[in-house]
Amino acid sequence: MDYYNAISVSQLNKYLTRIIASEELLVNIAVEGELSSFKVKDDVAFFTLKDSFAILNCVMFDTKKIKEPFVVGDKVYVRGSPSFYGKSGKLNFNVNHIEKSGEGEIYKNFLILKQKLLEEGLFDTKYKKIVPNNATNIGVVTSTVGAVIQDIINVATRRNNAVNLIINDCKVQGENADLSIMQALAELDLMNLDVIIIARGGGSYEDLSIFNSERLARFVIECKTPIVSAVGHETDFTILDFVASLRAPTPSAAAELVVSDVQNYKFAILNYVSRLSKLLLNFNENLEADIFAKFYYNNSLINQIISKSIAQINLKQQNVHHLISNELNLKIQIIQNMLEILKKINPVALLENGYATLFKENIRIKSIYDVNIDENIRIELKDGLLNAKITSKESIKR
Amino acid sequence: MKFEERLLKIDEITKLLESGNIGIEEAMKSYEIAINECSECLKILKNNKGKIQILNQTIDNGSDENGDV
Repeated sequence: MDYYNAISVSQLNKYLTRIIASEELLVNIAVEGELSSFKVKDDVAFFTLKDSFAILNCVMFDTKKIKEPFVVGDKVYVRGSPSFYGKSGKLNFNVNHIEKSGEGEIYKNFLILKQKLLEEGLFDTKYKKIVPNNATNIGVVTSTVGAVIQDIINVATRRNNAVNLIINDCKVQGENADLSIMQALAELDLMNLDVIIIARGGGSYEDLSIFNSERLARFVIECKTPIVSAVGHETDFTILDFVASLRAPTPSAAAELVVSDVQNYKFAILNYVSRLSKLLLNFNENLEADIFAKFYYNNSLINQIISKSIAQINLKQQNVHHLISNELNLKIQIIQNMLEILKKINPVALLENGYATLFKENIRIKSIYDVNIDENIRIELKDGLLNAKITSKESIKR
Repeated sequence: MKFEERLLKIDEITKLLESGNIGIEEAMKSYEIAINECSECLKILKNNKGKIQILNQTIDNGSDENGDV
């Protein structure tokens, strides 16, 4: 084969751009389809239109022309022209007008199934299991390709490094993806886990529509493990959300909901430590105060007793003292009286009063018969002696 | 003892001590137990490491997933 006439990619894309731009049949045409994604960023609306067989990427630069809110699933008419961008090799439909044409087919089916399952009671609270907020054994049903699983691992292990994650890889979009999810779910349901998260990142409405599977819904309510649905963004709702025990707005949020933050435990424990320490301090202080109070009370009691005893002793001492001195005084009095008497009967004192003592040769004369006439005697007076001679005797009757 | 049981025990002792219906000897003993449990819990939190297992991994599963979180 010859390649001498091969053209470059740029040349081809430039040509395609020109062909599409110059095709009059494609200028300002109306297209009908179902919105399968809708995003507004920096005043530019990006959305995709689809039907059962094909997809069309649309862009609308003048968002002021959008007169009503659009959601995925809306059936819409758009008016505009396609243009091919050589740089990216993509064809965009430049929309200058968009309006609703009625509810989309897929969305309608979703509502019908939702109503059917609701009437059957599949959304009843009796099928909801309690989802632990501090799970440590967590099953995850998701695709191991993409950011979702990494986000779940990151959030879960950041909150609690001790969690065990068992990730069961499965298809999350495309044909029979619901069977793949059910298979993964069934395996994890046998493992006695605390909770199972079914997760998928955001995507177009039809990407997520696998989670509107009726058989998946019926399978989920039969599981004995609590199931958390974490599909797409916060605004995306699927049938799975209604049959799951808990709906998480995003996969990361699911991890947050079921794994408790260890930091909180740490704070709680440190709080206990501080409370306990304060308690013990108070306990000791109270006890100390108690002991001091008792000590002071006892002290004052003892002081009182001692003072009382001292007072009693003093009183007794005084009494004794009093008694002894009385006795003594009495004795002294007696002695003094005796002395008085003795003083009175002192012979020397008699001499003082003019009495005399008579001696005959140093023997006291007590009777007139102790001496004879003419005998010499000695008379002892207070201030001296007299020598005398007996000249007569005369007895006296007394 | 499980981590939650330890936490429960700490909580019980704290409440008992807070109630004041306990003698000093028992209070000291309980205090010591609670503080030990606290340090044990912190140790568990620090040292426990979980496992991450991936079952049935295939290359093509959801590889066409173009979504984000």
